[in-house]
Amino acid sequence: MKRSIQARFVAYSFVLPALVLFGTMIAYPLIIGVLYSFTDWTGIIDSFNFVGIKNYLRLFKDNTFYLAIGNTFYITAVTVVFQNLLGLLLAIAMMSKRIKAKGFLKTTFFLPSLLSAVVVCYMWMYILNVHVGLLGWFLRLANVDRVTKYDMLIKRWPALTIIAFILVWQFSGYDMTIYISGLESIPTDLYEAADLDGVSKYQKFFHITLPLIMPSITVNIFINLIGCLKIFEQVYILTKGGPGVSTTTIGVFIYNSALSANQYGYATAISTILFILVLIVTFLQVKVTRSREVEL
Amino acid sequence: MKEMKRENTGDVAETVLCVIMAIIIILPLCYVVIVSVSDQKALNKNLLSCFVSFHPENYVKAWTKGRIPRFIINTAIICVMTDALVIAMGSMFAFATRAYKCFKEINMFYYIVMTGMFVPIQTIVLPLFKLIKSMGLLNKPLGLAFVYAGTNLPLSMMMFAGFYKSIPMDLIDASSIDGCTPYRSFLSIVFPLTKTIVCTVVILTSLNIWRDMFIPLMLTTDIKARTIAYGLMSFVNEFSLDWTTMCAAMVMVTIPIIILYLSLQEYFESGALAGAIK
Amino acid sequence: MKKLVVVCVLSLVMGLVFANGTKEETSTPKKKVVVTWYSTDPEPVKTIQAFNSTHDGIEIVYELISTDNFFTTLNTRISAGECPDLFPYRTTDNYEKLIAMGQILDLSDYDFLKEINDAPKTMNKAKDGRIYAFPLGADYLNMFYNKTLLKSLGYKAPKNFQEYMKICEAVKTQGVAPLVSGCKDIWQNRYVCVDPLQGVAAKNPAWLSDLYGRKASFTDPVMLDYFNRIEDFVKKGYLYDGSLGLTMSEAWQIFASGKAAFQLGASFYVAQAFPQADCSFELGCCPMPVNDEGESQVVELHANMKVACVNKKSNHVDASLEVLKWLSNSENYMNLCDDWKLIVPVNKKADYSRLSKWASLWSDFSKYKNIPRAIEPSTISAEFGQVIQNIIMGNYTGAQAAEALQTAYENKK
Repeated sequence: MKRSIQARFVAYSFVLPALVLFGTMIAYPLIIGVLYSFTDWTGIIDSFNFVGIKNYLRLFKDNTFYLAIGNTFYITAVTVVFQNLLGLLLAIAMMSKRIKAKGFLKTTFFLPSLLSAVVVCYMWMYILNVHVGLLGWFLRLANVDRVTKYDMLIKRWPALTIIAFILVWQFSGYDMTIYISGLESIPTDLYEAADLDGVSKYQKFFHITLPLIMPSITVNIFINLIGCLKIFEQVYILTKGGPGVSTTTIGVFIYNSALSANQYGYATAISTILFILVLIVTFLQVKVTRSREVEL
Repeated sequence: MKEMKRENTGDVAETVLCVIMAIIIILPLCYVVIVSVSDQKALNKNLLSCFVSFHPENYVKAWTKGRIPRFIINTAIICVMTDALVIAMGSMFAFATRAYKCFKEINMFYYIVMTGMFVPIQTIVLPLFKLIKSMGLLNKPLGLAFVYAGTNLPLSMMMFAGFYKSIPMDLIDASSIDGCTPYRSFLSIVFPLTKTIVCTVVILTSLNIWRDMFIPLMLTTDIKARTIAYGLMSFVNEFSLDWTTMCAAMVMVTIPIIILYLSLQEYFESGALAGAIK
Repeated sequence: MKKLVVVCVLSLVMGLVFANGTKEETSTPKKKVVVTWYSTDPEPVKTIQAFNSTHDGIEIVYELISTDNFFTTLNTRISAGECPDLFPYRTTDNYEKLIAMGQILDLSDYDFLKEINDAPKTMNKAKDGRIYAFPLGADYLNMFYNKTLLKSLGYKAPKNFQEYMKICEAVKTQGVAPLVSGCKDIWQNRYVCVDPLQGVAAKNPAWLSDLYGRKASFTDPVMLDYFNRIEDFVKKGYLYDGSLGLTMSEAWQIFASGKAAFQLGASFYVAQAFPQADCSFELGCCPMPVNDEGESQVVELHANMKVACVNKKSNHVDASLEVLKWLSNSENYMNLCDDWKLIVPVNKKADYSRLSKWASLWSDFSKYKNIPRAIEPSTISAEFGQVIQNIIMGNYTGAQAAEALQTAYENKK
């Protein structure tokens, strides 16, 4: 298109509404939030003072922060790995000729991602409850000695793993759908040619399938990473970040500091760090996976 | 012979995986449905009592106590508004990144808006509340629609941009030679091609709104203005966990979104292909 | 064809929903002044209906927010200028700041406070001696116990801490857990062993205000002693195994089923949380045994969240005051206490009649020394529960808990 002023004007008119919306709803509050991170505003009283980088210094000295980072990364790593693995395996299965009722299966696998976090978490919480839930009922039926030993949500690593499992349960179908689209776009003659050459099944997967679905892998991991690093609702409903602060993630840490303890300045400092963290991690991820993408 | 045997184990493994996965998904959901027609007091004493009696009145109780109709209307209105905003703005922006690639700043704007995906909601909720209040949109569906449009815009843009990359530029150039303004060529030529992407974006955005509990909780002060995810929370307070009624509410809350997904399913799958991958 | 069916189904559903939803709106055609009332208690439906039907121009809209989220939500609203008209607030440092900001109305000079007993009125007194919160009833922070079980072991209610420990040991050897608490909710953790703040407030009333003034510390011997007691209690195995994963309602169910002998809490829990239908034993109630042998028993007047502060910056302060005036009329006040199962503190006597069948539980409480509610500074209310959770998990000793809490308190200024 022409580089004239008129063309520029038209181009801007296309992007202006979105920019205005983004500016007011996301950019403006974010900048205000970052500004507040340099104050000691409690979030309720009118006045506040500028304290420079005191909030950030306090954050870096706070043990809970590092605990939260560790927990968040653990959940993210487990979830992203297993969700994508399971999604890919299911997608491959859906492409196979032997399995009937594909439509029904595809819908079933996608169903959990339509549910809200509240529904899913309360459902699993009730199932895994050793006092009044399904798990407790089974344990008592099996005459297990100390039923409460199996309460998985009160110990740190079992609780974090359960949270990751629940996320995998909910979103594997979502990943599967994107992988199915990716697999469908691979032309079958490539596989036929490989068969003629006598290539084994595993070699076919690693040298044909995997490089060609890299775009799907990029998209999936990208979306999963962003969701997991910011995770809040699931953790808050299942463990509230406790007992103590053992299962706190960064999102829960922000919520507890900001809104519960009236330390809004501190909380926005944490959020700013989280924002930068997510930016860096996803940037690295996209760079790595994009480089392995192969154009057909 | 050896080749065929290995083939069979692979297929068997796939079938087993699908069956196990289907069971793991269906069983808990069935559990919710069964519990939704049981009696809470009997359930507390003995879990097996859920198979003995049938209490459909839980649904009536959930419908009234959880104010479900009110919340469904609110959520539906907000969904429609947000979808309209997000589709209009997302497709226009994506069109500009494709047709006006020569202007470097358009690309820069694109990346700036994409960073909106990374913003944690807790950071912006307090200033956003003040902003919405000062615009006079507190407790109105349009206020929440603007917020959701802002948070879902990056995803919509990403999907449209991915699809537009596959549209040949000659199509647009040809129309401008014929005397179409860029707006016309966008509306009559380019946009109608994106039916599948529109459906995908509608599903994804509506899903996000349907599921979200945090934004309505923080950004509305009037219960009557909240959305459906909040309705579920009213059954849970520190004094009691009315599990059976909550399950009934859960079932009722999930049905509309399942209907939406089923009706747009084919479009969603081809849309995911076209938009996300490319 | 399939699409047609889907469209028809959807429009049918939407039609049903619309029909049902709009019915709500058409029932209130007149423009009313809406008084918003936030609280952590279940909606007192009868009371509110009674008010709304007798007052044409005013309508009360009530919202229940669970204790977890209450201050979060309330503070968000206040900071954005959307403060509700009536709301409870704990007398913490934030309370003073809100008063200084002019957010809460001074109620000391109003007539409707005259009938209310002194104790609940002065419970929410601000530093300047004025009253900013209207008490909506009273209750005690006390201990419930399984009377049948204790009787069978030859014990009556514990009169002091040492007796409490003895009874716990006896109960434990019977195979029953002494105490259960819903430790998953952070603020429930101070009901493990005994409430340390109540203990300190009983022994040294000035300590708490010294703490606010930064002259006292959590590591002082009087507070450290209580943390050590909690550590000791947990080490001896007197806390129900798995309490960390219990919510409050689950803990009450376990108590009611006889699996635990003691349960600490506010008196109104007996009506709101106690699953009466599942209880097969005789319920007993006594003051929390924070006192040592030889010291007199104290009972903490609890209901500091059962108050109503009036939003001074609201457009309809008159309407809010009208609500309070109506509530202070004894019949309506009684009905409110009825809805919430509270003790009625009017006319110089405590009227337990609203607790009906439970009234006998507190009939002799007037002979104990009443102390006002002891509250921790708002900045560390989460940490207070968290350090106790750490003691339960075995991560902290009593001394470490006190130190961690003091560090958190100092950091949060």
